[in-house]
Amino acid sequence: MNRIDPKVLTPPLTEARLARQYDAIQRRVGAAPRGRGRAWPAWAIAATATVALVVVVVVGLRRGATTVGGAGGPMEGAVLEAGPGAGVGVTLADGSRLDLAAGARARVTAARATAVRLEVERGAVEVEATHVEGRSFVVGAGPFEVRVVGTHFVVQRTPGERVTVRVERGAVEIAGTPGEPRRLMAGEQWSAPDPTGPVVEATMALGPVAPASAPAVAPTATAGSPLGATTASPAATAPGPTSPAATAPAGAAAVATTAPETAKELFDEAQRARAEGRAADAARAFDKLRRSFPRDRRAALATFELGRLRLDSLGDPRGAEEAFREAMALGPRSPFREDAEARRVEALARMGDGAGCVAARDAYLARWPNGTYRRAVGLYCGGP
Amino acid sequence: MVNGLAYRLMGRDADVDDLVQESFAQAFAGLGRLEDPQSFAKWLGSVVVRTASKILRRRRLLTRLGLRRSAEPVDVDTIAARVVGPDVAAELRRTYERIERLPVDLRVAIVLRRVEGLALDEVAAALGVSLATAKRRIVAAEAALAGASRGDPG
Repeated sequence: MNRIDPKVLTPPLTEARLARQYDAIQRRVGAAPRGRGRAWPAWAIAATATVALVVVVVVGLRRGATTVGGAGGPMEGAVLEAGPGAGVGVTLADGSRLDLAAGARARVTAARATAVRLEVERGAVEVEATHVEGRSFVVGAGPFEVRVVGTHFVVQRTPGERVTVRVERGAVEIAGTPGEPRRLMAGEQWSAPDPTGPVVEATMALGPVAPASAPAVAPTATAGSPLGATTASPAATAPGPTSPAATAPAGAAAVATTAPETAKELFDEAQRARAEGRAADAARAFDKLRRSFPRDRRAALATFELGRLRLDSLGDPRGAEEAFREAMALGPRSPFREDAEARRVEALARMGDGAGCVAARDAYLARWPNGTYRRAVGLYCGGP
Repeated sequence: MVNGLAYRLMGRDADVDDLVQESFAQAFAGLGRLEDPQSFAKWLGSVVVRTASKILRRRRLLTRLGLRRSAEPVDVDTIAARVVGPDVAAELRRTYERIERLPVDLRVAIVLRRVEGLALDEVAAALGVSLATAKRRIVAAEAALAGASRGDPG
């Protein structure tokens, strides 16, 4: 059998697919009991990224509630909205959790001890629902309903285009489809065209947003409300575009977002953007992280990821070369050093910088004579 | 790296995500056994190889038990890079169809050697077998493929 060049058998990888894999792995790893009850070693966190999945980073840097809007009172009619730059997380009193991806908007139409109902108006909302005996938990998305029984799933809606439901754990039923409700089990995904048009602002009168002056941290929740008090929020008072102060009644609540300020928030933002296929936004967040927090432990990895995004998704080999070079400088002994060096050779080749490419290639081969990428690197810049 | 290796070991895109997830889950479960961080990539590769072997063996068993279709089409047409011409894609498909029929041990060994391009000692390390065993498997796979090739009409 002749040798087959592995480069001709390369999987069709997109940032979105990698992010899905990353999410799935994160959930599996996060759900598994930790053998020694300690965080992953830093080198493992970084090394995992080198194999293009960036799996451990969030395991080591657990995502918390990025910005949490509280609920005052029963919260029915509240609009939860994440700004374009960052997602938000809301933890309900019963332990259920809603994570709104950047740009997502949902309205709470029922928040009673016997029923919780959420309408996804646009974007992706990830739900980790706690099972409560005797209480229904329904997520509406256009004409469809997702009925929950203690589970973890994601509902994504692009009004007028498509509704997608993906179940990670447990099971849900989807109503609104022809015939019997469709049951979706863990690992399954369902998608259908959304026959309804975009949500217009006028409909928001049913679920007005809090006034701009609404407190960011909720007052004490009404007893018995399943959507009672949540995790405390950092000051998040910026009114969103859908915050008509004049029309918002008391008792409504809103989730506003703040610009990410910490390295962790920037890293999370970048990951979310990548998961949603927004490579440019992800690159901006990684870039901001490395510039704002060059001494943070995430900086080198963020810079490496920036290089990957520029090279693989943004068609910017020059920018990628700069990022890989800096990633090597920021993490000279990092486990992804070899990857950065190899990808830099590729970037230089794509820039058409023959001399630079040869120098980088030879440096790689000298440093990593048995390296993982020695064959691929050896083919750049006109071959050996 | 992991996606590419998974892709080439399994021969179809539909299997890649499952294998990648399973491999990482296995890797994290066994992370404490890895002593040298610098060898992480190779170690992870061996985890992928072992996990792929398990999945392939399980499939063979299910096929024997009649619980799975025996001849799912090889996915090379879709996995081959777009730059490859139709003649090369056809040859790749034929090759992978032959590889698909090999016993799992031989299949994995030949992919590591002839597709991944690993040295013999690297193949042995990835498989967790001796150098002699790795060589034996590769030779056996080569012979089986050569035989299949001679029997092929085209």
